[in-house]
Amino acid sequence: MSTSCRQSALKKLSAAQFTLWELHLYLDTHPGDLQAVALFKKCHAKYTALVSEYEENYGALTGFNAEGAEWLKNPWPWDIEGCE
Amino acid sequence: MAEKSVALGYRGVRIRMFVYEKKLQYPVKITNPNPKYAKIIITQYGGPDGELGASLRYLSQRFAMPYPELKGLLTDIGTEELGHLEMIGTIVYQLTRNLSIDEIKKAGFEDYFVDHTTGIYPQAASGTPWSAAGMQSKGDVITDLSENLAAEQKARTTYDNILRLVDDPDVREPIKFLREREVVHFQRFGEGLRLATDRLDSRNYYMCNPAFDKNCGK
Repeated sequence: MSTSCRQSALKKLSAAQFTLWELHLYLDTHPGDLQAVALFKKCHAKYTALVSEYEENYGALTGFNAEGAEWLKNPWPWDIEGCE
Repeated sequence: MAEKSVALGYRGVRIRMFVYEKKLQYPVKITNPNPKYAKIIITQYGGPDGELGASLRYLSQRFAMPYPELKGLLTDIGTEELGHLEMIGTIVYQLTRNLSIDEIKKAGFEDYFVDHTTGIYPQAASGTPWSAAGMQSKGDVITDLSENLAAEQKARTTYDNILRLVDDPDVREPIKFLREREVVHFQRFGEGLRLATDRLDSRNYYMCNPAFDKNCGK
């Protein structure tokens, strides 16, 4: 599990999440925009796949989905990862 | 593993409270510590126009909101601001790693250091601790949304000023991201204000307060 690999997976995941979040906020003020709803669904499928891929390789993103002490493993989001 | 992923849809998660996700909204990786920058940027953690105040402002105001779009918007933006608080905390933390006493003195970081060592504390750049006096929750739809429009611009200006003071691209990149979020939130709050006034008497929006007066806008 290399650091650069984790970071590039995280970057991909964050980009997909960002797209989804932007659409989500837009839909708060444009709930009737069916085109945006369709786009949200499309992006959501991609995002879900990326979350599963990330969690399988690098551990759970939310505590309830972690098994035992897996949740406590470093790195935490504020940690700087070394290059071992 | 396969079962796990099924349970993980963004809008399909079955947990009934705030959920922490073990990642930042946007990556922060600062190679060179710089306590001078930390002293400036802490203001977006606990200063008057910082992320803590933003989050509490929106998450508090939403209780008085009568319209579903506005309840959603304030909940969502208030939650995103908590993510920004975590990013700012990360930036300050990484800027103050492995400091020697010499570096602390040279950067003028002693006044923060004496009270907090290198812990993260919500204060303004001036050293004033975070205060709810910097935010408002007025229980009036138009008033609260107008406050939020101003608040997003005040935060944007603060980020602009940080960008005027900071050269390190490792620090500038996440700050630029946060600055852009203020612009997007301003846009969404503007639309929210429009949604509210569209429901009121167009000849006089201020005739009544839909968060308090019964039958207002009906």
